[in-house]
Amino acid sequence: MSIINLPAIDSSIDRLVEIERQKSNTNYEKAKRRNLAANVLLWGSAALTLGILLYILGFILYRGFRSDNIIESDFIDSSGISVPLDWHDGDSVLIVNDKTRLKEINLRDLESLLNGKPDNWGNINSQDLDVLPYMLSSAKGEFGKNTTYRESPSEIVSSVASQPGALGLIPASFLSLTENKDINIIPVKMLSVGVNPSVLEIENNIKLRYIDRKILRKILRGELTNWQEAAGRDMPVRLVLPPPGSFEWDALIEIAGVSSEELAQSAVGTSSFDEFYSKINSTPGAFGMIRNDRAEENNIKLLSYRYRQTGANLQWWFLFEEPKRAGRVGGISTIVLNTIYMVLLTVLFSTPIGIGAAVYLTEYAKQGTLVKMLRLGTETLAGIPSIIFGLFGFIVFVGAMHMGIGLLSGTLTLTLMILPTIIRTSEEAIKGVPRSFSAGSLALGAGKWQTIYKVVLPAAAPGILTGVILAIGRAVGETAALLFTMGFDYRAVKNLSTSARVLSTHLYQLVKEGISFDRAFATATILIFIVLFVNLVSTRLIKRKY
Amino acid sequence: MRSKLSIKELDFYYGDFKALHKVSMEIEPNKVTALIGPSGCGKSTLLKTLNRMNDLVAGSVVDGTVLYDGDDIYGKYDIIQLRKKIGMVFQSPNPFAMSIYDNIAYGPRIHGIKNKKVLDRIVEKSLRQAAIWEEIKNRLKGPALGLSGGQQQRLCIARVLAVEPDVILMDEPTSALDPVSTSRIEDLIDELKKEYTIIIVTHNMQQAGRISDSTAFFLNGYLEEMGATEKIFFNPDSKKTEDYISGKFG
Repeated sequence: MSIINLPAIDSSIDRLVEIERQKSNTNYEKAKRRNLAANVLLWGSAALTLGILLYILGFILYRGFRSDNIIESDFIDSSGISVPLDWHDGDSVLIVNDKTRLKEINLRDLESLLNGKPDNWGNINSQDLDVLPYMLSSAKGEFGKNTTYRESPSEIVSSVASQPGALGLIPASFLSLTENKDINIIPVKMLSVGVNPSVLEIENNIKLRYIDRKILRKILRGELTNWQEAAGRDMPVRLVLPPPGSFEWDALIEIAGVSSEELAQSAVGTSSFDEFYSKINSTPGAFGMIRNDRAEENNIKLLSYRYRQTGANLQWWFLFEEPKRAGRVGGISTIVLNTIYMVLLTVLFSTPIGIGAAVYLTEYAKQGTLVKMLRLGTETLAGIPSIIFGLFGFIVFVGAMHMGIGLLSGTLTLTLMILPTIIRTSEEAIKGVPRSFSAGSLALGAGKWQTIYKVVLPAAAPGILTGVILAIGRAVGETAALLFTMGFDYRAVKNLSTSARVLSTHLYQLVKEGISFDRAFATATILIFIVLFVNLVSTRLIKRKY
Repeated sequence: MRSKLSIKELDFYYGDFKALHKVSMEIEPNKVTALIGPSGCGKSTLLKTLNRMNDLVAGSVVDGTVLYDGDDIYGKYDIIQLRKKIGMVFQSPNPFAMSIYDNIAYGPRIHGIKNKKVLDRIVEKSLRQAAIWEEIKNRLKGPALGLSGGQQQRLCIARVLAVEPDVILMDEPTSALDPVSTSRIEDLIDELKKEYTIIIVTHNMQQAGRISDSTAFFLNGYLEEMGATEKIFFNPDSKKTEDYISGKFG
């Protein structure tokens, strides 16, 4: 028996109900499909975001830890330990003190070091060390006044081993002297690509700019017969071989990776160096691997060689060495120090004011138009581009208040910039403290300030701390607001009015002045790690609270 | 016997809304007085007026007098002294986000006690009085919010006891607790009335019957009837009281 008796109005209504019910079943299918589509969309965007994030972070960290550059130079990237230099009979070996960070050097740089120009390692390997060359006295008079001459190879070895920045040349036969000494043996790059001038001429708007190792090998093996295939003009390649048994010959065979019989068929053999150089100069399309220091005297044109240079980038020394020469040389120790000072000062200025303002807005102020306007104001300030804060700081702190460009002006500008963030997050944190906390405190006879200070603020501390951390993150990474206010002096700050370079402005300078991308990425990596460290520490602090 | 609290012709307004109408009642010392009535009848409001927690409510106006030991608390009475003397336990346990020890020591500390030994003594005594000492004596430095709901409420009672009050106001102290915790709190109230005067707001008729000595029944902001609990429950003068007690409304 049915409990509910529907009045019998019209059977058509019942049919309508039936139709609608069937429709709702198909609707259900539709809803299921939509659900699936929504899921795919959401997962997709989550995965995309994560992917982009990891890509960016991964790219910066990769470039930070690994230098990976395409280099065009006059020298081929093949180097030997024993090299035939003009200053000794037979082969020589280059030794340097192992405090000097050097993996290889090209002949031209070596020559300038030996001549005492420059007298600092900075340009060669970014290390702030004096160059101290040692040579055998048989080469007396050939070099600059910095060079010290010694009678025997063993004296050179002991001198080089005892002084950072020292380098010396010894005959290859004395190589065993360097064993168990604080000495590194450095390979020297000597060879260049010499070509007939016709190869470099412009034809149909095309000029051969460089070749790389792949093309070099193909030429040596005879797999590349026209310069067109190497993006040059339409002209046959004529490989000119150096005299067999010479240093150049051995290097050529090594690069080609085949035996001498398998070299290019069209190759032109020579029996003396005079013939070698004159063949290169007289044969159109000629190509030869020559010693870089012989090019000028024999009037041979050089072709750039392009190669990929990889190696470690960010290493510990980068953190602990002082920057020199606009950041070209040395590390970033003082800049890290300046950054820490800046963050501490900014937190010192902004946290009390920010929390004070938040307490006032939430606990004391009458919630009326004035407070609404204050809120609107802080929110607007939080969204203003930081360069405008920089401009304001420049006009007011640097100019009108005569603080000058320096740490104080910069941190005050940053304080203004991050204050809205701190106020807003602190406000939310304080509002989030249950009313029952303050009621409990007041009911025990505590005053309003006591209650805020001892109960509300400690309970809101995790939220406030999160806001401060966010603000620190912004401050550490801020560049624009500091450009006009903080200055770029990379020495450690001495007082509040010293101009100070921090990590972000250092990064800016490195890229803007085209100093070094490797260093810029290394600096960026340090910056990322600082932010990471601050975040980890803050989560620890938050977890320790009750 | 002289009244601990004497309420005379008390009117109370939340803005335009009049929440209490000419309430007059006497609270006797060392007794448990229960305030009962349906939701919105004004019993919690009355409780708040007794230690002036209603001051926190914007737009509230009090008219009439409340005498505590003969002094008008809405006169020149120092509000901090008042709240020290008339403590309050809230509906849901509200320990601070501090350690158990700091929760209890909070009251004495804000009233100027700094001596570590004195504080230790007060903390132990209060926790013993609140019948929770044995359970938590080994984790006084642990977080108060890690305790169970019933323990938290007894902790809150201990926190009130630590400032040595005279009167304890309880606003439905067991409404958020399970039956076992509730019965422990009820036993505690029975124990505490030897030393303190207790006023308790409750929705639970049985609870009022079990623990109170006298009961006041409120309806729509009026004190409908007040008397010894037995009389109110078994032989009320008012028909409305009888209807409410017997569950006809509310």
